[in-house]
Amino acid sequence: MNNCSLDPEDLKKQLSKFHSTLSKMEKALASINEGIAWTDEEGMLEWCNEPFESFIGKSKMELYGKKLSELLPLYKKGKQLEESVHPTTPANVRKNQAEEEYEFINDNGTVKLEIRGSAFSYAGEKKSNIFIIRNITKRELMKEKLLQSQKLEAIGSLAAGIAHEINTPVQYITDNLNFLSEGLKRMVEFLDEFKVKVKAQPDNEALKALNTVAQMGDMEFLREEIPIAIEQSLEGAKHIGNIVKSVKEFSHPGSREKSMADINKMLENASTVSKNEWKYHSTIKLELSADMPRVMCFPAEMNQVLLNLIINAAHAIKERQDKEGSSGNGLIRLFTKVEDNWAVIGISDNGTGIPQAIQDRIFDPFFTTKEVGKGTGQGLHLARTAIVERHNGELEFETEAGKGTTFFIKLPIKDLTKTTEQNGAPTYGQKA
Amino acid sequence: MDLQKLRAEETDPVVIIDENGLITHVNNAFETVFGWTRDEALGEPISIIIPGNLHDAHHMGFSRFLDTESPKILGKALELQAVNKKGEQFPATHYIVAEKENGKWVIAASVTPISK
Repeated sequence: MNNCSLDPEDLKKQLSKFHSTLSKMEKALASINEGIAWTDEEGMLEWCNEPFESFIGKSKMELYGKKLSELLPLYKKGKQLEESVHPTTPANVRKNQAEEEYEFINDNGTVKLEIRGSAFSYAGEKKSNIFIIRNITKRELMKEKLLQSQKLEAIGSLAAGIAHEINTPVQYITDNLNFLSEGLKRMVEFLDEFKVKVKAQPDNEALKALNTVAQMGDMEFLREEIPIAIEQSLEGAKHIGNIVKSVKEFSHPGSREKSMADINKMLENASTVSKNEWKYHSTIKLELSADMPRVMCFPAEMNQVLLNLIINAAHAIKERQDKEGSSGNGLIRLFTKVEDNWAVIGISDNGTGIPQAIQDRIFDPFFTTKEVGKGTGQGLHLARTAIVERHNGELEFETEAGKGTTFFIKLPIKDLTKTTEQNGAPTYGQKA
Repeated sequence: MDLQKLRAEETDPVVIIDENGLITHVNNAFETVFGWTRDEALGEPISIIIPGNLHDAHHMGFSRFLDTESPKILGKALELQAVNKKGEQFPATHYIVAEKENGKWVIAASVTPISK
């Protein structure tokens, strides 16, 4: 520089320091895993970090000097924001927008963004704005899923409560129906006797008059139909009672301790509770071994696992039927058997099968192939955790595309978690 | 295109800087297009031909390059705004190369205005 009083060598040293400081700053900002960008007083992009660059999907050199609001088209409920309300427009920066959520579309589809901006001055009076652009898609997804699982939990306890409330009236309805049924039998005996008397004494005026009244009241019809109506009502009440019982047993929070459980009964309950999921397109076939021993387990968790697997089976069948345009040919087989020291539970469907490409991911948390709102991607993950970690068991599957899938739950008949005691106490699950 | 070719270039404007970002060489075409004489330009920072709103990007990118020595924008044609002595901005095709001479970076660029 011509008018510089500094020694050129000193100047070079100073410049070198300046460059290394800038480089440090550049790298520091790049290492923050959020998009960072600043603009001049007109909203033109002056600098951005690498996360921002890769987020937009273009190189910095293509972005610099362009309006940030144009580089970052944002949407709200599918409608694109005008420049006048865009969070990076300089006039909007001072407004608090941290709570706002925007949609942005890039190569990964629609992502949700949170954009925080602040204004700063430099070189006297020039104004700049700096923005932090955070991708909150995952966070929002987690929130939604948490909410959903809380909802399910709430529905579960609600169902248990309702089941309990229904139980009492169902009981006295059943008792009353039984009483009516018994009472009616005696009334029918009376009517039959009456008919015999009428036939035997055709000239008895009083009996004749009564018989006319009986005919007008259609007693013959009532005598036939009322017992049937009561019988059907009793059957219905019994059915309600069974459902209520299943729901109660199923959603019972259960103790924190393992207990001996009847696996066959649990499968029956799970199929009753999930009936609405399969009854329109499938039948359930129970092939339960009569010699299943009781197994140590956390009943509530096992119930949840069985329910998840049955519902998955039902969905897989529905999906195949929708694809083929067929219906009603769904079959879910629930079977139990003993193999060596394992109690084996099988849940088998003739649904779509699991494609090869995703077979090693199906147990990952949040992995789902179901449409939004239908699956949380938690079912198989929870099942695996429950079976493997909580019960020292195994969860395996066999699948064939287009043919179906069978999940095998294997639970140790001899519960290993209780055998660590040193005092020689008998272990659970062993015959004394 | 390499440093040697750019040094010999006469048609397109060429500017060469050292690793401090200071101009060490310009050709006649550069003088014509940018309005700076050779005497004025030598020793000045390269930012004299970069519009103000690209200064941050230039400084940080240049510093990063010196530090990491991994070029991001070298060896390919880039369309960027340039500015002349009068402060007039115009789009120009930048072709930038960097080579080490005696252990120090030498960065050369041809900056050809895009006539529209």
